[in-house]
Amino acid sequence: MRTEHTRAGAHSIRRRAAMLLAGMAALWSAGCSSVAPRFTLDEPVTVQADTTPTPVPESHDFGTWSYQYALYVQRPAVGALEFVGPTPARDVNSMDDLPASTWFTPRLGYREVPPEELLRGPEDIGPPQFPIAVVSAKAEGSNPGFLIRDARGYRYLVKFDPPEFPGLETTTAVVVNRLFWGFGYNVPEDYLFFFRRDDLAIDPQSDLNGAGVDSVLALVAAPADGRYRSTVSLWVPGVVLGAIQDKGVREDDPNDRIDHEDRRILRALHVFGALTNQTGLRIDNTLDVYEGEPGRGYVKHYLVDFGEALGGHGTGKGYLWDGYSRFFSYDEMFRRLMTFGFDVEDWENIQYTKWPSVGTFEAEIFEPRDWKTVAPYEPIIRMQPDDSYWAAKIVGGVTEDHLRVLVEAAEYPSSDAAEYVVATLMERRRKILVYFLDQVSPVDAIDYQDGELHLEDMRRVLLGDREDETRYELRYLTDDGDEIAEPRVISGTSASFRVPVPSDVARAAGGYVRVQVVVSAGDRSAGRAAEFHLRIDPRTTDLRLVGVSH
Amino acid sequence: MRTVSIAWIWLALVAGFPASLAAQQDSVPSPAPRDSAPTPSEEYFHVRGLERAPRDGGAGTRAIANTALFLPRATLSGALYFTGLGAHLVDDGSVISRYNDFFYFYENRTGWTPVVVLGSSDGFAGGARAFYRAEPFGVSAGGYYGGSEVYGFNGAVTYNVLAGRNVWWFKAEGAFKKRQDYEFYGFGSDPLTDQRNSFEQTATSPFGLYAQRVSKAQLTAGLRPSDRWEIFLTSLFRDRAVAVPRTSDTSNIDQTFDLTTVPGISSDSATVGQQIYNELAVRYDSREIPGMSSPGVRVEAHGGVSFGVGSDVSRFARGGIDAAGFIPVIRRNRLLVPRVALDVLENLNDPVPISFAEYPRHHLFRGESTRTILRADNVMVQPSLEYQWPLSYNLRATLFLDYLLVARSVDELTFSNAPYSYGIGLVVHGTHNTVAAIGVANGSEGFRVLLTIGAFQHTNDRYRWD
Repeated sequence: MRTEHTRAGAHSIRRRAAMLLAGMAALWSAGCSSVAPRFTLDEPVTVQADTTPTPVPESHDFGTWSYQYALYVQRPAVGALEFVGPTPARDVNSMDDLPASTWFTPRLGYREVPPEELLRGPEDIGPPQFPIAVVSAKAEGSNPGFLIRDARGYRYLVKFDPPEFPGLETTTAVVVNRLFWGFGYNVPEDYLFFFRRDDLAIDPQSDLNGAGVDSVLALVAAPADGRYRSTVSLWVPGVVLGAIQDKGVREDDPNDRIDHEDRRILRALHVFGALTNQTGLRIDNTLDVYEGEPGRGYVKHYLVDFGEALGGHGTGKGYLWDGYSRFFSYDEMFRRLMTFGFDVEDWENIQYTKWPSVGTFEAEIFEPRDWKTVAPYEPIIRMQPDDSYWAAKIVGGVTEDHLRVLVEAAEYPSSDAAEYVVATLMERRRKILVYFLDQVSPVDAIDYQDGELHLEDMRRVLLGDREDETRYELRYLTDDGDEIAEPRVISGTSASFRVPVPSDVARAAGGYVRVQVVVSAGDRSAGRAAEFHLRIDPRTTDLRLVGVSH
Repeated sequence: MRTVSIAWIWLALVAGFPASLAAQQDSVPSPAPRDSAPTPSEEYFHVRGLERAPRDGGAGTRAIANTALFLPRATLSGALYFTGLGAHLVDDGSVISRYNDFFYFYENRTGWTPVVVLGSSDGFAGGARAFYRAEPFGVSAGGYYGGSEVYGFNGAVTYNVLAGRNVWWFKAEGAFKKRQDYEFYGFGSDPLTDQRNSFEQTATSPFGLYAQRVSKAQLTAGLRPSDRWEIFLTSLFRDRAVAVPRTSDTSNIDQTFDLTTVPGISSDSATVGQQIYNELAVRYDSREIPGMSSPGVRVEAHGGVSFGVGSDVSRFARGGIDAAGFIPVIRRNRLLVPRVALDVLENLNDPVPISFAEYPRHHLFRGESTRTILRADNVMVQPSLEYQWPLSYNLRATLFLDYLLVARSVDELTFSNAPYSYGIGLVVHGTHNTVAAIGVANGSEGFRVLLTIGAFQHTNDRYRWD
């Protein structure tokens, strides 16, 4: 009996070993060649169905130590033993675009957003109405503050400027909150708010006293004309569920089916963060909120706390490296150790501006590619060129008029400072467009009509380039990558152009054709090709654009 | 049998892995029941409008590499999971609450904490410390034990006063420390040739091991009149007993030296010296943020008189200066730090020799443990040159070169035959303190690993004579 058992065991081992080898061989042979996507004839998904009523998921407290441990110990160690390839985002539709969802609402870059609308942003309830009462002192975050209740019973978080830098965070919070709303994110209602000490009553339910309130006010920027300058952030209505994890999904939310690191809306934060220097993009500045009656609502996803963007974080704490280096990075530490400090990094040359409300915010040394969050953020680490291209197009939707309206509403203490912020943001916008548009062939499809694919060069559209001719190298391929027509080259200086794609060419290729476009101009060449997939629609017997990739 | 088992487990894991990996590969999803939520793969295919998912050319190679690394990855992941539980426990409020309940009482005014002493020279010792605080008063007492010959106790009462911008603090403390593995190499810059040392002809070691028991009571008043100045007034009663260790080690001091030539120790019984020592020290530190890499100057001068009590009739004076410049090179946060520490001992009652254990200690020299009196003489100078550069916000690296010079007088000081040490270190620091330091040193005394853990209060270092 024992012998038979042993034989069976040995047979099992051999069988598993054979399975292993066969599996490896299969993976090798299947994986060594790249495969292009093949799209269905379905209409593009423009709204993602993630508002199905669900039970209220469990709330999770943010675990600082667990998160730090994962960021700086667990993930680097395990990640060193795992090879992860370029993973495409999974919340993208067939047009390489993002459907509306509980994460994203198309605004800037999708339509004309009047500056006044951007300024209103998420406004619904509006700023607090007097009288206001302090409920508690703000414990989270690095800056002191309060939780207040207004005359209508709405709760707001109140934050202030550091004493040495009046106007630093209270201006930033408004400008950047509205910009992120414009980018399509859900954000709380943040407002610039002035009040006098006498306006602050103590909520009857609170265990604070007047001395406690005064002790908080003693730590913030002094009042001007007797009024404290603050940012108020409306407490997001609904059941607060805690931070959005930067990997995986919220297991108890059936609507959350795409790993967060594979969501373009989160990956794109690199680009939006680079524009605004919002280096605090980490999970404790995100929030899941269950909205609606329990059992009839669903989870909505927010970004919060923008006061330390622009120069806020670096200036207030003396971190000149903010946006250029991480708080803790093995790579950077090793490089610095090996160079014995002789390697002077560009950010070390940054100077404080003359305006305390601006601090160190700048655009001269800034490089979009090298911009960094304070701590590693998994979706940003996974960002692909098509993700940043999508985000850059949205950044392209920001105009100088938008910025002027926002900085005016932010009431910078100095008009020169406000001008400087607008100019700096516009320069950072330009650098972002130049860099991220060139990571792909920046061509989008307008439509397919009468045997021609109508394309648009987004670099020319967004940057208004007046440079030399742009070359568009075209290839016609089957879905398996075989050439089905002679390659062509189109040159031009206009923002849009037409590419002939006769339907008989597609028919000869089984009814499916990929038009590959590689863009080059002068000495610059796009990082990778754009592809437009066309397919014969049996209902019209004509070609239809069914898929786009960059 | 164990080998077979491990091999089987490995094969089972690895053979099973490609199948699971393949299952994760995107394929055309089968239709889902209408009333069930789509799977992640179905969701991806639906939103992206795919019939077939794209795949890049390196996927196969990566899959094979990941398969081969599965077991080490899983093992490491598992190990890190368990060590990560510590972080989870810290985040868990109920655990912290239980921790507080266990260690702190009476609204956190009193409590106790475990103490671990860990150092490259001290080895390992464990203990506990209890405290009571009622601002501005504080009382603490604690002790550690690292074996029958390594243990100590201490207690302190502190009183802090904030008077305007001035900070006053008073501290009364007592301590007891005993161990019997101290090393003495003799007097002079070259003990083996110095006429004052008489080595036994049968000596097998260049040093002699001795035992020491120190009991002390100390009163210290500190004043910080401004951000840059600190003044310390210290009054200390110390009872020091020095003896030959009760072991049969061939390196014992009586096996190395003719003890009749070593003042302050005898082969018969413990030699007890009782001294009262009064010292005034002044420190000036121009650095903006002393804990960080910050340019400036730090100078500290001290002077004091010690006199014997009871049968101890020795008397001596001490004086010294410790000066360091923090000179920015390349950038403000890369610092070249030349430093020199001078300590002088003067016998005020010449007919009575001073115990060898009272001579200046080389507390800055990184080439040897502070448990060792590597060189001893009336004058000790410790020059060093250090280069510091930042690695991240709370971490810096240092390259250093230390020398240890001793002589009967300042004009006899020479670098010839002086012990030296060079090395590299990493320092974890806060804005005012060094939190931990690790490094390696090499030099005339050989290779050494340097390890220090714990916050070093820069306002509380008047202990160097122990």
